[in-house]
Amino acid sequence: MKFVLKAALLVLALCVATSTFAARAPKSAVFGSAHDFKTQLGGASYTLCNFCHVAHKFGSAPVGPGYLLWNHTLSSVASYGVYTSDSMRSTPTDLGGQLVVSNLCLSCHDGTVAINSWYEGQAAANFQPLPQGTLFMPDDTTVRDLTKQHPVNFVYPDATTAAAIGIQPAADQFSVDGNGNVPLFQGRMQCATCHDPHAGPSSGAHLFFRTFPSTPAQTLTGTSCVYCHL
Amino acid sequence: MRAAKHIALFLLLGGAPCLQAQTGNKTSILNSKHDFRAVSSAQLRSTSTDDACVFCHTPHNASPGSYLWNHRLSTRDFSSYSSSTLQSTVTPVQPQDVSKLCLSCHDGTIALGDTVNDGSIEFVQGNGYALPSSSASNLAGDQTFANDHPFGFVPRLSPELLIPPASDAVRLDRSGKLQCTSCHDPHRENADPTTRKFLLKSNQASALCLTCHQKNGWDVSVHNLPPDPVEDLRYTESQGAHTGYTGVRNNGCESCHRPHAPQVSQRLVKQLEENVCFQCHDGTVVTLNLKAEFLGKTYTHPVLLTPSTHDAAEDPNSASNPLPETSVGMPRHAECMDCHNAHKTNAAAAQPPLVNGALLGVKGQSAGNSFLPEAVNEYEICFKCHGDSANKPQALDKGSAGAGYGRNPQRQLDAGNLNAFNTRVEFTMGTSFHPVTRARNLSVVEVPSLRTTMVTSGGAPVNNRPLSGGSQIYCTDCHNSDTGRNLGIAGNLPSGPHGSNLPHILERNSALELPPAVAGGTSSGVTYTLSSYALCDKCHDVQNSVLADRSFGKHQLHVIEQRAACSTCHDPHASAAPMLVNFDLSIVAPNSQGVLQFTRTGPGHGSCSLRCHGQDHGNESY
Repeated sequence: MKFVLKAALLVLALCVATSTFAARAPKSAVFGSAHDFKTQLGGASYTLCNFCHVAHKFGSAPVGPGYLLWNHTLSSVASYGVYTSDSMRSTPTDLGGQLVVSNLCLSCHDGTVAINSWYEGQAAANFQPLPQGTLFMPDDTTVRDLTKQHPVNFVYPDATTAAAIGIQPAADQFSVDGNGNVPLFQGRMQCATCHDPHAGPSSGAHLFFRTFPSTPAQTLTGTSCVYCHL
Repeated sequence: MRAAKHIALFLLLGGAPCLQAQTGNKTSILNSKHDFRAVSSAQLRSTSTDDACVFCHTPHNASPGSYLWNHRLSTRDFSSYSSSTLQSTVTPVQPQDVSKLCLSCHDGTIALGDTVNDGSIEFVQGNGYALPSSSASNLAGDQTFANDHPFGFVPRLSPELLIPPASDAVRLDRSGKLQCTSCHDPHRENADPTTRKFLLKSNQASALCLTCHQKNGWDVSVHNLPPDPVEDLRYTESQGAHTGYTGVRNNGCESCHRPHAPQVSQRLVKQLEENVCFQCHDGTVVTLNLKAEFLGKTYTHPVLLTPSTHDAAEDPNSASNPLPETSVGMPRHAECMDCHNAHKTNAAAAQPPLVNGALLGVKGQSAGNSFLPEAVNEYEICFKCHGDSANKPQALDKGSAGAGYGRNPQRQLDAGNLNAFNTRVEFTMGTSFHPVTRARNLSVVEVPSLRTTMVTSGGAPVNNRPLSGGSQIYCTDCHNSDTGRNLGIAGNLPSGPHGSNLPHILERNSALELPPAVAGGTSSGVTYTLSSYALCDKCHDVQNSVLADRSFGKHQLHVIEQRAACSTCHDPHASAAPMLVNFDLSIVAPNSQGVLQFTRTGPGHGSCSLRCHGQDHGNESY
């Protein structure tokens, strides 16, 4: 009897847990992370954001995307390939030549463009220009062949198809969870669905992984994969 | 307390749908045999990893990309399944086959914790622990996949092999290939809670196997629908059931087959030949004990003596297994499967010459010597081996004691006949013949001894076996068990020509005379009792018709006074002479004029020229 009651309470607790909100990392959490080039490269005081973003593209600034005010040189790779599998029903679109949010990530992470390659050059702490085009991603963080990566840039399944394939259906066009913690971009999964490039170790994240809404399955399996892969 | 119970129940029921949304396939892996987390309840598990996915999957830089595989792949090739009846082309598993991913653990060559992106994960069983060859999970523990259901191939469809319906859990991959994942879901161990084994759905009564393998006749076969539920449930693990289910009905295909590591690779048969049948048919499950027939009887079909010579592909066109056999030296065989098709066999009764349910669906050779994929008539099954086979040993068996069958009478009209002992030729070409392949249509005047129904040894009618001049009979009306239910008497002993203590696997006695030193010489003969000729008496009223001289007026003189046996003058199969007269040359010889001849002039009338029991007949008429 005691056991039954305990079990019931556990079920209740788990159900409640599924509806708890996840905490989003503040942008400042990028400080001290692997994405903090200000610290790593000894950038000027204002450069914590400027390795990736720039607030204004004035006069002589190189042509570049306004999208997220991106300041890093984009890759010119024409095709990355797309992931396929026998069981996957969605069809990703090749990111080569595209300009969606994942292309911003790939501007460093496909390994073809130097990390220190900007539209608007950066200054060191002594306000001397930092060198451009000399530092590349190490192999273990490079994802040049997208046939070997978790698929991105595909329409995430909605409720009508997700059930049949054991996937958590998207709540809306903007996120899987409906609260923006597992974001989608025009209904598509992108790198940033799982990763928040600002989520450094100070936010408790590992590998810039987002904090998904807690579910019993994630707790039990020890992995966030099962937030979507039911 | 009671209230608490109700609240708890309410919470459980109310909470269930909430949990259900979170318990799809992937999380079912928890605490299954594929859950290698350190805290898993699986026996095989890592020492410290808390991530259930990482052993197989990685989100980035997977190898290969499909299914984001993180486990290091095997580079070994093992031979794949083949069989003489396989219609599909099975090639070694290819790198793009998803089965290759399963084999990264299940061929035993790669450690369970050996990952591409997460290093070598230590297991409780040790760092670098791979499935040992003794593990049932190691498909290549025996260095081959030949004894595993084939995978990584496109099945060639047939009326008995279908692709699964689109709605079914069982499925082929996108290129139409069968893969491990056609039957197994590596994330869910208990879709079949009894067999487990990560099956995609319940395999009770072989529901999973039958998704593709729809064997003709199986739906009404006794092996699918065992007629006696008490007997059925005697088939348990100790009898050989390996699925966790009890009963042949529930074990289905796997009562006889095993998709992985069967004893016999071809057709994935669990045990060698008759042993697979003897799981049940030895008296332990099915009360009728067939094994005892073969073990205990003097004369048997040599099922126990001919290992591994039967092949399911044998037919006249088979290069390796021609049947009927084409050369004298070919080994002969008789296996259960030569006469019985376990997929089709059922309890249907039949009248001669048609096969009954027990013999449905086996190959045959027709009276006209054509190969039949499925025999229609019982004699066609017998003719496979007792017709035109070149290796029949009876022709060489001329000794007075016989060699294995009892004495073989050397018939007058077999002499010089290349087809001696070719029962197909005998029955189809004889002038006179027992009506096996065709009705004889003799009148009661010509055969006054013919009964109106077959009778038991005690003289009682055998159910449903009427006799008339137009009747046909089965080979098994004479060649059958000497103790079985075929005798028309009560008892729990099996019928069928499996074995008999009487020569030539006869069901009742048909006494032969001991040959004299010189044929035609004085012979002690057979002291007449009705039981000596019980076989003939089954259809022919020996006491009140034959020995009352209703047909041949000298029967009583010959059989009782001179102690001649029926077989001395009559060939029970057929003869080129009338009235099955075909003298046994071990007893009967040409007369002093060198003539050996029987001439019939009409019903009950004829003449004989011969020498027998020291008596000379010179065209002696009656």
